[in-house]
Amino acid sequence: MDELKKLQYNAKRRDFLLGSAIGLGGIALQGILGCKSTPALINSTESITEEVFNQPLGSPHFMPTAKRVVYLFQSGGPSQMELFDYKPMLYKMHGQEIPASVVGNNRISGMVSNQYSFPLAKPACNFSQYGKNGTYLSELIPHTASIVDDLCIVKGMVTEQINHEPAMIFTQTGNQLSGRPCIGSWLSYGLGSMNQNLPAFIVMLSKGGGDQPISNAAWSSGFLPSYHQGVQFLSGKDPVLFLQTPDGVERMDRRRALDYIKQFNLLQNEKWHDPEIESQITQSEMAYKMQMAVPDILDLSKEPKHILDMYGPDVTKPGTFAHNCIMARRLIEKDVRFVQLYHLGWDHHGSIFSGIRRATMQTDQASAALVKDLKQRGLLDDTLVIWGGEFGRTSFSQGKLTPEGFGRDHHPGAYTTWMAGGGVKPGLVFGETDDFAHNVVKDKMHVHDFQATLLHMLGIDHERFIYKNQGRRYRLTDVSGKVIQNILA
Amino acid sequence: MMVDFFGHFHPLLIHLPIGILLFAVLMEYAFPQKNSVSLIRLILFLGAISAVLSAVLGWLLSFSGQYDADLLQKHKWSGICLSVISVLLWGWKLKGQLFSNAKWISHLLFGMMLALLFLAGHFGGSLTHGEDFLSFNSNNSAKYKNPTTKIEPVTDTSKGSVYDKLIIPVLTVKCYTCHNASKKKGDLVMQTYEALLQGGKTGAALKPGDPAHSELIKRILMDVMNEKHMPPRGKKQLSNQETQLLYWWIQNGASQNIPISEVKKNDTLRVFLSNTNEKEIPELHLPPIKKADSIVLVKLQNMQWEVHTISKGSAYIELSAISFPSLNNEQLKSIKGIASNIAWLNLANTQINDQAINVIGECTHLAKLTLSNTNISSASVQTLKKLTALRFLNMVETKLDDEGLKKLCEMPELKIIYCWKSLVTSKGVDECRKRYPGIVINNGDNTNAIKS
Repeated sequence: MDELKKLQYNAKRRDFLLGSAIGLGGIALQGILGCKSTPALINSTESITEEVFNQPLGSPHFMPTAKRVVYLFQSGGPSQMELFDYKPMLYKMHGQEIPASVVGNNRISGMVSNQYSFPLAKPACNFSQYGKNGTYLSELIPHTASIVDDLCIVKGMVTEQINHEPAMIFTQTGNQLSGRPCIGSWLSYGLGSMNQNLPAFIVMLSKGGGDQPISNAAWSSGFLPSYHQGVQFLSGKDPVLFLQTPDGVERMDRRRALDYIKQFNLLQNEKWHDPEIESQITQSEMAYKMQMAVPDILDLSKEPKHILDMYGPDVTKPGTFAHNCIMARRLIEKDVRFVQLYHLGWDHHGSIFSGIRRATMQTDQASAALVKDLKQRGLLDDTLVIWGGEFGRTSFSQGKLTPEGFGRDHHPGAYTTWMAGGGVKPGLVFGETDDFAHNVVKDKMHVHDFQATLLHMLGIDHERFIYKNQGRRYRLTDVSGKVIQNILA
Repeated sequence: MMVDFFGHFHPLLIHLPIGILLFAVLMEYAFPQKNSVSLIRLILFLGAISAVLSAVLGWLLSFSGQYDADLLQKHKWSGICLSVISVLLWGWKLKGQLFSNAKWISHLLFGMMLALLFLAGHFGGSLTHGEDFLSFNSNNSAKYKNPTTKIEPVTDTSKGSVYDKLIIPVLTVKCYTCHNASKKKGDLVMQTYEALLQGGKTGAALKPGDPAHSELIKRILMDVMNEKHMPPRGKKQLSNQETQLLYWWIQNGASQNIPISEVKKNDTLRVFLSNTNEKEIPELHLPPIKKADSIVLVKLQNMQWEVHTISKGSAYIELSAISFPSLNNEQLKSIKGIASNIAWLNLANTQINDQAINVIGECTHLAKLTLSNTNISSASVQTLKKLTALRFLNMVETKLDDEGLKKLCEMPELKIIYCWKSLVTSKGVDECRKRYPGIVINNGDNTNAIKS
């Protein structure tokens, strides 16, 4: 064995020995005290003692208000001006230059850096008021508008990245570079699965959105054990590949084969203590359990017609956003901890007029249906639904503003995300932008704040949820983040 | 300015004479064999010089006006006396033999010096750390040193003002430690309403009606790393709600007389009136109980129950049959051993029916119960009503009917009930909604918002 490998494995072995020493100590202690010793009265607010690093939390720090999450990620950067953030000033000042005082020193992307004129562009749609509070919403999202009283619309989102990949990785992992665990992996690692027959973290990508690339680093487990990475359900006929037992093989044979493979793996593990071997064992077992559980979930034949109709005409086509939304509901019903959906096609640099209509046609009805469906089943109270992208778009036109249309560039300084259920205040609009939807003027929510609040809803104190790797302690919120109490019910 | 600048060295320099003069006493009485005339002369010389210098600097500092006048007088005069005595003592050790050989004079001077040292030191300590910094009365000292982090909720909203009942408690815990009549940090005293309005070095602490330009709010909202931020870094910070309370109070005129009932109208501030005063962390609101028998928990896990602790250290558990769809009445009895520990129970999609209800009835602390898609009917309602802590009930796809729903609505803690796809009719729901407006009844019909 070469020196480096020796070092690596020794490090892992040290972890292992430390872990087992604590474990054995605990067992011994229990023996000494006697298992049946009367447990002391426990106060539910008892303070938590110093945590051991790299041990999953097991149970949350405090009572969660959300047990599960569906994250409807709208990749590409949905325009806040065409959807949620009604700005009458843009109609008034259409064609005029955006005031320099508004832009300030804000970063603009390379795509408009050689542009000498930045004409404001009025939204490519009309707005009207919806819900009990008369919230202004775009005509392009009538279904979302119908559930506005259940939504908490956060208008003051702010990110640090201006390009898709880093911005998405930043939202998902708390850092712009790929390599750190994403939200779903952190939760799978920290809280574990609520259904032993299904993974805690499932990812689905919808087809037919756009050509913006998306990398699987966004659902990577980073330095966490690799069985916490998102299990991707593919958008074809066979969402989980090779899940069917081949013809001629009995399920019992499969079981016996797995048992023998497991024995081999355990032998290897004894020798090397490589955590990846443990991951392999866990994954094989999970795949075996999924053989039973998944076909049942994928089978939409028992869904009544009026439910399918809620999600829209695309719902029966595998791979569409609508289909993935109803899948998400079925997975949430089975207590999957984190369901991550990605929809592409929100990157409207040019001809936003047609582009955003296409994107909203594909997503609006199904997103709203998911919230309604979870609500009528009594699942919305402890399921958090999040809808949002990685950044917003500029209120000025990218390129020339022509009568035929215009586009909008990436804008990290202000964008909108909505949440529903799981302990957020329903019917709330939180945060405010200036007259040009360019800067946040009130109640800013930085991506790290969003992550901290998300973990808070799941009962986790983001400052005490730590994994030590290569000598450094890591958190989802890195070194910042603040729980935004005002959006919590 | 210069006066102030040099004055600020007083708290630094003051430690020299204290140490040196005590050292002199030690050499004179504890280690006479190591002592010598020249050594004690040197020590006393250094002590006297530093004492005089400290006294001068202290005198300069006294002009800053940050301190309680009475206490300052006591400290000033005891300090001056101490420097005089220490100079006298040094002089006596230097030239005393010329006048008398009496030992008692030296003893007397040492004694006086020691007494004054303690006296001046104590007064000085009281000036900087507050008058009761040495107090052994736990109530008193706790008020300043470890202010209770929780502010008592107000239950009676019929009388009293916002200032008396809410503002004062917040300021007591978070501000009075430094801005009291004796410490006066930044010349600001906050303990009385008049003093608060008067403000400190930077001017008025608040501008009634204009919180954004009020120094108090500005300092609180400043970045914690900024040295002007209040309370200073490391001290207990104001919670979000407390900041909003102050903001709201100033915005509404910062009057002493705003009645406490006004707070009720503000969503965020209402938490000050409830039992969960800070509301920073959600809680179960169940009584403390013994932990569940871990042997039973392991048995349940092996039966395919999903067993989770609600939160770290909690004795309450969440039990779910999500991966145990074959669960029947007989198997449900397995939870009996830990029934009172279950706070959340999910029996959705299982084979249980009304005969299982007695087992569920034993779960006395149940706060959340999901029975959707089971054969439970209204016959179970009578037993369910025994679950006095129940807040959330999911009866989707059960045989619950209007009569059963009406009875369930009488439950004291119940906040939300789901009855979509049950036998409940929309007429029955409307009736219950009217009669029990405090309970959210979801029949699958109220998901469409009305367009305005």
